Amino acid sequence: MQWQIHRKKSQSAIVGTIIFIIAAFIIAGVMFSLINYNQNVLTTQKNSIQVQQMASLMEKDIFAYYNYTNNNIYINVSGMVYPYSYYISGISVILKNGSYITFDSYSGGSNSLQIIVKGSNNKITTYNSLPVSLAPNSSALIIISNVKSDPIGISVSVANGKAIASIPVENVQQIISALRGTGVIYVVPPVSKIITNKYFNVSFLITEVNILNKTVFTPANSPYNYTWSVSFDLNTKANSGITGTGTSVPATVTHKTVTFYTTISFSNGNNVTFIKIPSGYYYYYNVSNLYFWITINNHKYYNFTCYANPSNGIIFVNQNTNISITYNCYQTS
Amino acid sequence: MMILITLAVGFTLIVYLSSAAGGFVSLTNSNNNQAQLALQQYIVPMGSYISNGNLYFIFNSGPMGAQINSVYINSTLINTCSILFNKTSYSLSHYIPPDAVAVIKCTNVKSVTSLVTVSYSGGEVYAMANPS
Repeated sequence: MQWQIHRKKSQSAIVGTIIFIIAAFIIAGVMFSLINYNQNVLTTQKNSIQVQQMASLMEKDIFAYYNYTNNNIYINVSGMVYPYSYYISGISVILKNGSYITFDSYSGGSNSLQIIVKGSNNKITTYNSLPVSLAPNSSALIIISNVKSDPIGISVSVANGKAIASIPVENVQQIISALRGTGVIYVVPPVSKIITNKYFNVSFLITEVNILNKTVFTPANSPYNYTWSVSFDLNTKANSGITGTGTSVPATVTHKTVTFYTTISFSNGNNVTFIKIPSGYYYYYNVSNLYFWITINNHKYYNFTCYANPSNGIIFVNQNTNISITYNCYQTS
Repeated sequence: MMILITLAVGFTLIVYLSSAAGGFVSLTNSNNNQAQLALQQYIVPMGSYISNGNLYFIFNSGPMGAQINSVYINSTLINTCSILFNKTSYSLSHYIPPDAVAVIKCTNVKSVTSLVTVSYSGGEVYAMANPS
């Protein structure tokens, strides 16, 4: 009898132990699930913050402005210091007449859309459909043609596969008029764009002067005189409290004599380079018109005016920058 | 006999708890996946304006695309809205694929500055629309 009681007690203890062990496993499983759930929530929150940060950085990193002339909209997209590539995924334009224009990857190719991308190696590639990839330190010129009404709101959307940002496109004329009024750059660069202790050179190079027919210039060996200047606004540096070294402003070249009569080449001594420009800021530049004339026996003949293209603009300095200027000439007297 | 009953009860308990724990894990993972998807599904406004009694809201559908559900103007639900995408008009709600530029058009809208709220699968987005 006593043996039987002892046996039952042993069996009950074994069963209890088994149930206890299984229950322990279940509790451990539930705890593991809870931990896993918490980890998932944390990962979700982390991803959310990362996506928000990416979008915020893209918004701050890219600067875009537009100019509307001759029924064409020219949108300049620059910046892109952020060390990852983007792609332009969409463009929207609201017009004054109440209509709108949109482009995206579903629109397909369009004759009225041209996107010229300049890579950091100065390689030029042209596209007429979206998306268009932009590597760091590259820039893009978007040309939308056959626009029948003034644009009143332009936006470019950029994405990197995870995040997307909408970049408002500023009107360059409004920016320039604000700059002319005060001499101060109003476009404040975001913190992400400031690269401390880095300086770059900005060069203005005249690549072509579309001079008039050479038969005008007789006798052929008469020298031409010209005057020309280029100014580069360094006020941003002074006003932002950043100290640095810059060249004198403006750099002016006057009354040079050249001997060519079919083409005036400004490559010798007329490539003006401003050195040690603090990086991380937008700068406004202005290139004067070119005036030249022919002197024969100390008499001044044939005055010409050449209009610079581009005559002004805004650049973001984050690398050595070369700005090519073309002059279109007209005889004025 | 007592042992068999104890084992049966214990086994039933284990099966029930395992099932409950599995369901809990499945539910939390499902909720979590939905939350992650919602976070990645977001749209960005690209422009909005009012012209000739029509409201236009231009947006990009983002990297995951989004389901556009409804539109509110000054907190009032508007039932006269359609969505234009790829030269085709759709009624709401409608799914827009990733990286698409689409336009919501609402008719019979007052020509005054308005707060536009667009409800979509990832949440809500707001924009001011001015008469052009």
